[in-house]
Amino acid sequence: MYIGGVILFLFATQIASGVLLLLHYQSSAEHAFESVTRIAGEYPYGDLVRGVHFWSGQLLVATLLFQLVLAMLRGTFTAPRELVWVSGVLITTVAAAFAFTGSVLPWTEDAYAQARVGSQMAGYVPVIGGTLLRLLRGGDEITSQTLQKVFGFHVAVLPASFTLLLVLHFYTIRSAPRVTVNVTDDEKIPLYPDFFVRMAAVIVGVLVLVISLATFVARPVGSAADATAASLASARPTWFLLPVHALLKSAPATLLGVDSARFIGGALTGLYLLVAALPFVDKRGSRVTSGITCGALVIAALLMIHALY
Amino acid sequence: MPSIRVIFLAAAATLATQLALAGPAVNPGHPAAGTAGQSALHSAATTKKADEAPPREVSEIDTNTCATCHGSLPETKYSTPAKQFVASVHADDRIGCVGCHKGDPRDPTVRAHDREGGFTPRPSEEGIVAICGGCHSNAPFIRRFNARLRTDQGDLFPLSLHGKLATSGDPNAPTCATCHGTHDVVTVSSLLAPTNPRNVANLCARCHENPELMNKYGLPVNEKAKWQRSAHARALLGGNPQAPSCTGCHGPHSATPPRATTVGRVCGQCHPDQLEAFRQSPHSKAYRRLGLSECVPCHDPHEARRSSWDVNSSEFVCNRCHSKDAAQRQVAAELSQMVSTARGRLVRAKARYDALKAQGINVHGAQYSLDQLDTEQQKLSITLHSLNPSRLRGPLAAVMAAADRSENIIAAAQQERQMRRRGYYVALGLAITLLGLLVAKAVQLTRQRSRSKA
Repeated sequence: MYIGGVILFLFATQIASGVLLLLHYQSSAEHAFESVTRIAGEYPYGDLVRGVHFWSGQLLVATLLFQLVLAMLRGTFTAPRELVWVSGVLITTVAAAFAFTGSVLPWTEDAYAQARVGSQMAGYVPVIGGTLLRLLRGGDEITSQTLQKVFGFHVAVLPASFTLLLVLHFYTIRSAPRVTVNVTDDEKIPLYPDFFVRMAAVIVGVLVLVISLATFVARPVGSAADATAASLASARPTWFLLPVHALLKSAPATLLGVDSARFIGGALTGLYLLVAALPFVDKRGSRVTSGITCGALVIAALLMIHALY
Repeated sequence: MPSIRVIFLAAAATLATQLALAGPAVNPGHPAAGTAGQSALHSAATTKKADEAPPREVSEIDTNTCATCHGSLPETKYSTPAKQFVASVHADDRIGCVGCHKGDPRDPTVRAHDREGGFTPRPSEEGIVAICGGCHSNAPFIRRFNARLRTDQGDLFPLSLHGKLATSGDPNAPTCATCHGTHDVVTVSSLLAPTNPRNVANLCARCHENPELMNKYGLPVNEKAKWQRSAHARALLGGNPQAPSCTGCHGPHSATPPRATTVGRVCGQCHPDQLEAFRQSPHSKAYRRLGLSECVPCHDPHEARRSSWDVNSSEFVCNRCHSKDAAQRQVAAELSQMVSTARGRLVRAKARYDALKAQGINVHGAQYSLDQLDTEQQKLSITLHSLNPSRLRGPLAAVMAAADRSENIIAAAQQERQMRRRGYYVALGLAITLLGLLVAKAVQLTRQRSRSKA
């Protein structure tokens, strides 16, 4: 319950700060970087809004992932909550896409590299990979068209999808009874004032965290994108894609006779589909799922560390 | 097998040209054709003659049939020149192989290689100068290719030390091909050209870093090493094409070291303000009396860079002559004080600006004001060459004013930033207070609940 509230609050923060940024951001390749430096340096409280938007976005992705993992460990994805689970996976996917597209918008050297690495990864998805890559890049290569596409996704396509999925998610929660969480009568508290106050405390706590991060963590804008200067060798994607990045980087050229990038792309796509369809695969929420999840978490953490060093 | 192929190719080429035209005598008007050879280094005469007989036009006869065979010969010593030539700046049917080697390409088997008929397989050093000069000193001919190409090389080269050595028959003396290459000549503006300003130091160093060779002429071998450390090298290789390498000061074809009386003029080409200021300094007259160069006592010509004005440094420029002169040292100390004040202001303003930029803050107008400060600082450096403290006062005041302007802009941005930060702290404080109140309330409610249960 609290996590759901936090997610809603973070999304609301995204919308509020995002609209403020949208008032000043220019999405053309020539002006994007300049407009972001102006937001960060000149407009009153521009850097605060920018920081809040960035950090609440990162926290949103982190919270969603956390909730998914929690549900997998507890086995709360089983019927009659399949749709809750599926919509939750989709929401997390959209949030990740938000974070990716958002990282490209400042059109800095780093953003350019992000766009490159991220869209490349999308290209490794089997069957639809090529289409996906061209859709993201607005062509075969990264151009000013890429920025326009990414901008469109970030401010129109993704917010709309996210909202619709949230509505679906909460609707399915309301219509499906809670199954596994055992709440004894002693632990039951009235919605108002007890639960209300607790939820408010959690949300204000998150707010304090977001403002603190935005205030105390320096996030320089960086330097303008330069297709010729961007050093792609050292380019790293957003944190939640780091495990994938590490896999792609350290894999041999071919795996089982297939180009390793395509192989990993295929395997991960399969894994994603398996996770999305989990309630239909594991109908009881068995311990096996929890065990595999724990193992996957450890492997992902190790890969992340590997990607960083 | 190759010989059969050669004969076949030669026959084919002969047939082709014979069929094409039984034209007039070859090369009637080629500038290099008639006059070359005799007065090799004094090729001014060539120009006149060539004017009378204008260079020939492109026609089918000009097709470079030499390359037909030579391009596919198995011996690289024959084929490489033909292949290189095609990629060179001279690859033009109006020049062709015969432009330099002569001979008659219409009859490849016999007349093309007939030395009696003028064919020159390996031109002598003297011959090379005549061959190159034949076209390159011929302005009407050259302007057909490129109106901006200079045509004074033939006049300048004999005046250079290299040219004089060549005239005296010194086998070490470089001539045209030594620096420009032979079949593979590319335009000087090409980065591939050894004569390109960015490469030319390495080219000169091929001889001028060779101690064995330089000993014969009593010349030093460290000029390139010195130049590498100079401000000129840093500027040129850092992207300023105006900065000089060897040829920038010595001239490409009239290579002659400037003398004490002329070095000021060479430096003054690019540094006129410094020269002007220097000529108003007490040093100007004294140097002339002593026969010293204008710039060299303070700035090494090859390792040219800013002199040190740090009185405490062992490299302090005035110490070179005035280490024991009290009166001069006092003036020097005063000048040094002014210079370090100005440079200190510039360094500090830049550091403040960089620190702000690193925080992601773009300070509007700060870059421009810093550029202005830099300009004023340069003006001060120029006036410094007058070595007159009273003349420096005006420029120093200008530097100070410019530094004040920059620092004000930067300080205003910093202050605004701090004010905004204070706003963030207030917001954060309010949020934390609210959080505290909510937690307290939640705890209170929980206690109430458990008490009522109990």
